[in-house]
This record gives sequence, C-alpha cells and structure tokens, in this order.
Amino acid sequence: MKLFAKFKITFGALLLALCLNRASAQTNPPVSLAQISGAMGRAQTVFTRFVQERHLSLFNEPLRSEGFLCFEKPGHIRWETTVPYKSILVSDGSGVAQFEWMDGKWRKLDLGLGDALQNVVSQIAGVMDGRYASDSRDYTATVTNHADEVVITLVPQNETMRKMMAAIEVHLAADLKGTRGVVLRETDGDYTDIRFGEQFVNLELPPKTFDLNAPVDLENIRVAAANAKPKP
Amino acid sequence: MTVRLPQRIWLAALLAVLAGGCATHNHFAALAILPDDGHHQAAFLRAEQTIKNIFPGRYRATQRAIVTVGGRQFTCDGLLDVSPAEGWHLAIVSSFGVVTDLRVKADGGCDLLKVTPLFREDWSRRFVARDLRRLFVTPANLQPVGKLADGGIVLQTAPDSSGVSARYIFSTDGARWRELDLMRDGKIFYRATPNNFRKDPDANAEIPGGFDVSAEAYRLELRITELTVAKEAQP
Repeated sequence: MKLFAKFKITFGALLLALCLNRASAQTNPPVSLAQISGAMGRAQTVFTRFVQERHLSLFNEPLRSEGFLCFEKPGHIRWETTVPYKSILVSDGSGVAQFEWMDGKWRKLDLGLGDALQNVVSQIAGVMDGRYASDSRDYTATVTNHADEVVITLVPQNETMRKMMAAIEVHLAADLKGTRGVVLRETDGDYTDIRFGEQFVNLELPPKTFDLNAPVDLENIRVAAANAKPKP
Repeated sequence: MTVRLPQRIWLAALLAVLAGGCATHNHFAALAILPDDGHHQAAFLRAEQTIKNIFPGRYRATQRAIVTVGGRQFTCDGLLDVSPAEGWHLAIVSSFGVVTDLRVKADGGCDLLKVTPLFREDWSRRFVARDLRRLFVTPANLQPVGKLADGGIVLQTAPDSSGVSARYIFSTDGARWRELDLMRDGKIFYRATPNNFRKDPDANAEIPGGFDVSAEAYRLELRITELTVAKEAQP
C-alpha cells in the first residue's frame, strides 16, 4: 500500500539513522547503501533520546516534543514521549499498544485495528535487518558529504507519495559515529526535525521494555543505559 | 510523534463511524433548573466575568487529545494560537500527519486553512470548529437562566441560526465554570466539562487544564499541555 510505504520511509529513515551510530563501518564518506545496510544489521538494540519539532508553515513556532526511542530485534519498538505529555507507543513484534498518562497513571488505549498496525510495525522492523536500505523500490537515496556531516537524502519513488513527502534527510556525523537527526520535508513547506541525544546501541534492555500491557517504567531503561558499557 | 501510520487506517475507522450512519448518539439527562428569583445577581455577574476571562486574550497553547470514535481511540496534538487580530488558529497533528488547520474568527466564521487526506472538510467545520468555538471562544449575550438544585449558576445563549443554544453552568458563586451543554429543541446533544483548573501566574483567572467532551458520535478528552500568554503588541 502506498501509504504504508510512506510510513516505512519515514520511520525507516529514523531507524536507519540510529543504527548507523557506532555500529557503522569506520570508512569515510562516501557511504554506499550496501555499507548502510550492513551497518544496520549489526545493531541488536538501540536506545536514544529525541527532541522533535514539527514546523507548520502557518505557525510561527513549532510543535515540540521530547522523549525516548527503544528498538530491539526482532521487531520490538517503543516510542515514548515525555514532554509536554507522557505517551507510549509500543510493539513487541506480535502486537501494538498505546498508553497515555492520565490522572497520575498509565491508561491503555483501545486502538483497535491492531492487526493492521502490527503489519506496519513488522515492516518497519524489517529495516533493522538491512532490507530497507537495500530496497530501492520505495525511494531513491543519495549521499552528500559536507565538511562536518554526511546527509543521506531519501526521495520517495512513488509520485503520490512525493506529493506528500518531498524528502527525508538523515544527518550523520562525518565519521559516522554519531547520528544528529532526521528531517522530514513535506511538499507544502511543513517539516519535522527530529534530533537525537546520546545513543546507546546493543545495550541489554530490561524485561518488559516492550510489554503490551504493562511496559516497564522508562527510568528502568535509562538506568540500564547508564550502566551499559559503550561499544568499542 | 510524527510517525506516519497508514492514513487508510485512520480514515477507515472514522469513516465507519462518522459517515457510515452508525453513530452512537449520547443521551444526556436534562437538568432541572430553578428559575432566577432575582437574588443571585452577584453570582450571575461573577459567572459572566469568569467565562469572559477564562482564557487570556492572546496566547499559545499546545494540546493533547484522545478521540474515541466507535469504541476506537486515536490520539492527536493541537497547536492553538489566539490573538485579537487573527482569532483562534488551530492545527491538529496526528500520528498520521496534519489532520486539519483552521481559524475561527472573532465574528464566529471559520476559515479552513488546510484540508488533508486525513480528515474531511465538513468534519473540520462541523466538529473541530465547533469544539474550538465552544470551548475556547467567549460566548456572546449570555443571559441568566436560574440555578440548579445544588446551587450551580446557569446562563444561556439565545438560539443561533441553527437553533442551538449553549447553556453554561458555574459554581454557586459563579467563580468556576463547571459545564457546557449544547441544546436543540430542548434536547442536549453535546456536553463539555472543563477540568484540572490551574492558576496561571500570567493570567487573571483559573485556566482549565482540559475538557471532557461527549458529542453525537465521538468523545474528546482534551488536555492543555502548555499555555503561554503572549505579550500585548506594542502600539
């Protein structure tokens, strides 16, 4: 489905960026898609802080949020917003759940359509196996080398998709050891800027990090990350 | 989060309920109102001031909403800019992207600034603009109606061109807004309850931290996650 593909591209770019961190090859740019694909395949888990700004062309200031992203093979994803509200979208690979912090406690939403959502998340998880980077059916990718960073630009192949999403930019440190962010550029001038803070790759995540009924508290994951030994 | 979940899912769910003719209509108990006996003028005046000052004249607010339609729940974020010159400008962003972008003007008119594949134009006008207008815009020509059995103060607008009256209920002293009912032909079809009031240091009054809305085919749980009072423009 075309719109599934749009989602794959957007989220795929996000995960692609994260997985390049530290797990990437030590080569200097230019970077090939094959290198990217190989680098992605080496990340078993990822944990990082994000700051997201949604810039709407008709507003002077962006819609801003902060939070943390967790990933674990196979297909486990947790996107947790912490500011200005608390919300968790989580998949354990077999299902999807969303929680909202309301009146001092987590409340699980009745998302419905779980199978369809799971189908999407499963496709996203395929990114971690490197399939996404090696699949050129959905987008064309170009790598641009700047003095202080490398930018991978993904342009949707599908014309209908391009009417909504002009391009996705993944900004990497020049040595590929750090991911700075992802910019999602829409055709109407709106764009979303996601910037990443410190990233932990291949750390051991606590049990129930991706639990669909009672996901472990974020603080437990942060403690695990703080105690994780950095990958050489 | 701007994770772009498939738009078809969003549309399918909303279409099934909003446009499919299977909407579940809420039924609200009619409130027994004791007629105004003329002894509560101070409370009525206080209530008018309360609703007039419930939000600052110029501010920016971010919102988080859970919308329940046909038993299914969706979340979205709102960005609201309010100023005397520009009116009430609201953009709604869901996990699927921008849902709608509209402006309610001081005269009550609605400009739909952005129509997206996620949301039908008439839904923006019928539902989103109504919520925006009723929850955030000060009503004109409120008239005292009476009191509830528990002492709550009741004020009401005259019917508009579509025959809808808005009934506002306040605390006994008129200091706190408790409820809003929309009625047509004497039947309530929309009820909003402001909640989580907080004293904003930049504002003159207590500001609602959110609203619970029950309407024809949906329930809206709206939280105001941030509110920043804008400085008045320099002359």
